[in-house]
Amino acid sequence: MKKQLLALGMGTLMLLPALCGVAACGGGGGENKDGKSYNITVWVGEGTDTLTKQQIQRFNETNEDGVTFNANVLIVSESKAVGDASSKPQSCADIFCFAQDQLARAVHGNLLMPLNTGSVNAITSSCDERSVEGAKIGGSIRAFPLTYDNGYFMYYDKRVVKEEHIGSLEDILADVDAYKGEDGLPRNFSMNLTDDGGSWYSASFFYATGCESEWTTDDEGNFIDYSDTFNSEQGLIALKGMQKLLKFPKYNASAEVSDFSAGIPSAVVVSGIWGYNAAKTALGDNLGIAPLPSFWVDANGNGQKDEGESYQLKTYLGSKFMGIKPQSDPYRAAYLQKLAQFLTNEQCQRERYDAVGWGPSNKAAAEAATTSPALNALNDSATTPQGQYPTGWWAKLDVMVGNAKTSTGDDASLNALLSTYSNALNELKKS
Amino acid sequence: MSKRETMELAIGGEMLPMRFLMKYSYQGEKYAAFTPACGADPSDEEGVALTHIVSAETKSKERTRQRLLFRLLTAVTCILCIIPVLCVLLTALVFVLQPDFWWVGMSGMIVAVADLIVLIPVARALARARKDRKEQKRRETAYEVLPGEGNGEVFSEFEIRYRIIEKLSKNEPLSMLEYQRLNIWRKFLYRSKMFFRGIPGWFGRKFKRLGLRLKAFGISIWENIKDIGATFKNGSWKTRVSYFFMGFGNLSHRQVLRGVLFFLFEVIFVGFMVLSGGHWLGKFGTLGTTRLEKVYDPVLDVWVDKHIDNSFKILLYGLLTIFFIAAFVYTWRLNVKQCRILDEITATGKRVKSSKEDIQSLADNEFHKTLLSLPVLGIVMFTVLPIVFMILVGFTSYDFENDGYNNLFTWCGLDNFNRVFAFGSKLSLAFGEILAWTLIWAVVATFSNYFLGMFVAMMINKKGIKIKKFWRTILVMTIAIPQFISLLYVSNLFADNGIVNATLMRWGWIDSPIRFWGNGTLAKVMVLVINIWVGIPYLMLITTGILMNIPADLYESAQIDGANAFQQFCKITMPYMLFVTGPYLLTSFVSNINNFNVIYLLTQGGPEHTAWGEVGGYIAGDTTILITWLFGITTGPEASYKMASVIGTLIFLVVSILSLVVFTIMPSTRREEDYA
Amino acid sequence: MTDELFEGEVFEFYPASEEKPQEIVEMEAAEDTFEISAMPEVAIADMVPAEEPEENAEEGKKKKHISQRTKNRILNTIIHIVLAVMCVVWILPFIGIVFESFRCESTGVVGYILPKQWGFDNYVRLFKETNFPRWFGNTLMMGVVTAVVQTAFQLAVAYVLSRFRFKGRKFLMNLILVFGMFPGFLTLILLYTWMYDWHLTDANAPYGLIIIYVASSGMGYYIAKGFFDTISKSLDEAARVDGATRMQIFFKLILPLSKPIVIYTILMGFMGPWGDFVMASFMANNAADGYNVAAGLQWLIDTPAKKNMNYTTFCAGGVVVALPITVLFLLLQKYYVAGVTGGAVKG
Repeated sequence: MKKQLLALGMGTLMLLPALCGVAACGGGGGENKDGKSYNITVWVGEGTDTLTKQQIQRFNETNEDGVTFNANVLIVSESKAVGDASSKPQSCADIFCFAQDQLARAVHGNLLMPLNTGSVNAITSSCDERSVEGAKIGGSIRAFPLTYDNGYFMYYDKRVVKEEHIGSLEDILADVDAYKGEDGLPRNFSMNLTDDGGSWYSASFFYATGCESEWTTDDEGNFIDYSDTFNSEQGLIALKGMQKLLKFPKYNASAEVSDFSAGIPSAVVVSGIWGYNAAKTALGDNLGIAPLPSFWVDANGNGQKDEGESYQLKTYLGSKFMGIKPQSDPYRAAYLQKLAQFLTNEQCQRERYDAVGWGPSNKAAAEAATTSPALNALNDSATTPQGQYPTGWWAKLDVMVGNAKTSTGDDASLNALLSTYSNALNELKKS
Repeated sequence: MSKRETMELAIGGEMLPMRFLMKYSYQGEKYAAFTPACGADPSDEEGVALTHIVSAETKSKERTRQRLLFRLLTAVTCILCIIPVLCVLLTALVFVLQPDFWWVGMSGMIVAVADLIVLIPVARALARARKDRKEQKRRETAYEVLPGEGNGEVFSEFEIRYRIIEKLSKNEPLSMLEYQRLNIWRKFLYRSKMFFRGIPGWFGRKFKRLGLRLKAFGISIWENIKDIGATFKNGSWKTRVSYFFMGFGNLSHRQVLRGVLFFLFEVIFVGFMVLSGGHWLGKFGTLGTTRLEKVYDPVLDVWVDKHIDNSFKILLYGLLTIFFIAAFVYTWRLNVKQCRILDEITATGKRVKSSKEDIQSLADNEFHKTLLSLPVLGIVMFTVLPIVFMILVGFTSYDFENDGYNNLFTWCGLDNFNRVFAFGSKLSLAFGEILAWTLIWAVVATFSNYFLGMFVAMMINKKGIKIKKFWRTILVMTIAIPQFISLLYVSNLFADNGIVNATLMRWGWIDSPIRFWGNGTLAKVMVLVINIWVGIPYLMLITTGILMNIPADLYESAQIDGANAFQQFCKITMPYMLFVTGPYLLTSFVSNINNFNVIYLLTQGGPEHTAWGEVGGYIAGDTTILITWLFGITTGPEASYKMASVIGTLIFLVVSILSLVVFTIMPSTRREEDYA
Repeated sequence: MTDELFEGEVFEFYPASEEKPQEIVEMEAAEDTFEISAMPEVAIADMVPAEEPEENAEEGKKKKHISQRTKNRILNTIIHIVLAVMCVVWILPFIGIVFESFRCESTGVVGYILPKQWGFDNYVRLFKETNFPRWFGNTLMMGVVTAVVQTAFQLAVAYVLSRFRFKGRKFLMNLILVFGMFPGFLTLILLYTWMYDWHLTDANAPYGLIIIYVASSGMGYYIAKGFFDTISKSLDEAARVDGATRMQIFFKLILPLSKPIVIYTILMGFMGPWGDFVMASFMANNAADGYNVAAGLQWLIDTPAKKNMNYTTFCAGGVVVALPITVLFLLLQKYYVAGVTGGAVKG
């Protein structure tokens, strides 16, 4: 009898957790939050973490809703933020900064919260039209423009390249080739065409000759169609122009301004405004800054200067954005949008320009930002607006340029590369 | 040293093959044991019975050592023999099917040739080891032939030779003495013939054994089911209750500890299944059906997300649930079995083990369960489960677009595998070439480090070299600096515009920079050379210890006999080293296949090899080995986890089968059976 | 395979040279076309083919002796030079790193080795402006905990596999062997998600990493098992006869005998977390507080702009990390050797 009781007891005991479980499932999920204080994570680019902390502090003090954000501000470079976020979507930061070429991917990966009317109005009224245009995916603005300075231009050593020569790639190459320093070393020409991430730079040659590659997306960031004219006469000319550089014996595949102080130093480095300080330290008064040059190609394809036609290299120009991760709490979502508005307003952008030299996207702030030679050079450049491309496109372009480096350079082989490229794009669209 | 010697002596006794009937002499005297039939085959035409005189002491040590060396060498030779055959097959296949990709074939040929070059010294060492082994046995075993025993016939020389020729022509195996009569070429021929004739049989036996094992497994499951049924039918009511409430049988027999544990486990299991396990398991088949919902809040004018299904978690926790269920079934079976045993014990009127005794035995006879519980749990949860998970990912559409959280992924069968196996596609081409380079890298890196490290150790150890400790310390210091710093520095040093190139140009030795990392072949050489730089200190340290253990009198007597340094190295140092470091060599080969650090930190896999195209947005390079390729694919712009998983699974299959075979042939595992 | 080379069991019996049976002597005598292999006397030492000793006069011997000595001296000189060159090659990058860490005139990569301006700026920056002290503390904590637990796990597994014979032992060994071959970081994404659910990532990454390092550490049992195999089982048996339990044998008998392998395992466990940057940076997910030294220092230079700002600081960090490990390694190197070779002897 005792044992039967035991069995009975065990039976009820066993059912207990099950019942509890059912109860817990039904009642679970309630989150208790103090509506006015939020813990958030913010990812910002190098050099702005302390500044951002101060700005958030100011927001806490001044905002009308009495919201307080306890922000954990971390440094994550704009180029890898979206990649990091999409590999670990749950643990992405609440607010993160990223480069424009990642926008479609971020939208497609559902990393960006749709913005409300207040935010959209604030952006359209205060920001440069080009950066507003760049923030749109399928017609709606998806992120806050943080800067409008994401492009590249030329840093050069005035001792090597004569100032009157900076307009022409051929002259620059001739200057670089002829130079022999007192240290007994030649000088290099640094532009990243073939290394990792080189397609961002190599595209400038195609845009110079009038080629176009445009991808259209739907509202969710899916690429639905493209028009690409790289596989054309113009594309061939671009490859020929690029080969001048690729086959140049002192060409160095790098976009780092530290090349100015490398073992064999560079005389020219194609890079963006992020390299300004280091370039200034390395070269001092000898540092020259200029927009990208133009190159010449004649009917035979091996033009010297003043033969055939000249093509002006065009840099991409785009924004860096501040995006907000989708939230599950509507209040939090609304306040985060206000915080992002604040962090991208005129004053904060000015502070950023003063501290790290980032070119503002805010119209009023941009007008005041005239002292930076790097930003001025970028503003003088011939540009292509930064578009949205599928990640595969960059790799396909890289593959083509890499193969162009090793190819013989005759029309047939270059055309073969171009048609391989355009076939690859077809496949890319299909998949 | 002396301690180890005594240890070896102590075990040595157990290692003697059992067919030698032996008695020990504690003073190491020579003992004789008469063994009428254990050595000689009674049908042997020499018809001899043997008497072995054994000296237990000298024999055990030397013999064990030699046998180990011999088996190790055999194993290595087997592998080295198989690789070129495979390579040639691959080459032939490529040339016939895809002549466009002749370079795959070429690299196959290069591997084959490299392999053969390595094979030659190994085969020679094998031959020598075989000779040694025989020599050893002969030396320590004295035989007496007792005429008249056995069948006692005496053949004439002519008859013997006739029989040998007859046997050879009929492909029959020879006896040992007959074999000894062959000249060296015939010996070699005979030996290789027997070797190749042995291969099918060897594989046959392996497969047969596998089949038997599977059959035994099936039978044991069936037996278990039958037993469960029978126990329920014949058991007491307590046993039957235990089928539903685990541990009841134990509790009612006053085995409180076991009973409570069983019951607790069941409670936890049921609780888990109800709370979450069932939920995950239910969605495991589809990996989720409802993506997140976007909900509009009109008051605040914001959109918020409501996450519903998460494919990643469904896959993970579904798998965990399956593991848990398996553990439960096992425990339940254990519970039933124990009830039956308890029934049987009480039927005979004996006393059952109390909880106290249970605990005591966990510290004694069952101590291994105590020791293994945590480590094995850790291995299952953090190695087995994740790996099974990653293999499953290869059958899904998991990549950066379908991350499971924001966009669901789902099962997609063999699609990903088809992409790799589409022969002639750029992906399979890249796979082949990267695999080839990985193997070359692993072989060269392992052996170059090994021999050069030994060479350096020998230089330092040589008599007459001063400040030995200083040389050693300098080299050892380099181990301590983390590789991610030193390799990055070295990589900068050799950059196109780095210090090395600048210095060489300043001295006027070169006109244009040497592209150490820009040229595929040069980059490969550089990686290998720098790997030597990384590896020599380790090998120097290890080999120094072993070299000092080689008895000095061996070298002295060799010198007296007039052997030069090279001969001493080949005949004394090498065999000893190979014997001691054999397993280390094999493990370091495997770890070189997975050597991420050196390649990644030096070249990140570059220079980019654009002819291969890209996989998952990542362009593999000339120095990319499989492991860095995987890393590039998973962390590249498209984060193609599915493809990485497929490639990882393939590597895993190849490497694990290879290593299982190697470790089965290897002396250490084989000899274990002598212990048991 | 080789065991089946000859019919019947393999047994190699040879007539001993002194006591050759009559028949075989006769057979040998009758030998004309067939050979019987030569039978050297003693094992290794005598495998060296014996060259005919110089049978010349005294002078010849002396001459040879002298030339041998000079030869040796020349050889030693050459070896000394080679070793010196080697040491320079080996130590140069490290000296380079140390120089970098004392360079003050700029912070990026430069094309020369000797600094133009010396100072401790980088070290000050390292400790004041970066999270380095935190990273160092993280790593130290991880190192210590990993060393302790990993040693316990590895020794336990090794001891069991060396001394116990139980059902499933072979299976366990094969399982560990096979699963050890899988490229580990493929499972990173899974481990991250898992640890994230337990709040052991980002700033708490060191704790998550400890679990990951430790959980699978039983798989590295080979070397310790090899060592245990060399300890005679008869010792165990004697203790058993005296009434010791298996646990007592392990703790009181075997462990005291295994000092080298225990120290080796601790050393390896401690050094592991210092060099791991792939897993550490992945688990920390950009939270600078959760890095170990490797991930943290690597993070300092992960973009070109940061490399320009932090390269010399990175080198200073490297020097600081290397110091304790160097000291530890130099002190314990004999155990390292004993560990590796002790294991290797028995595989």
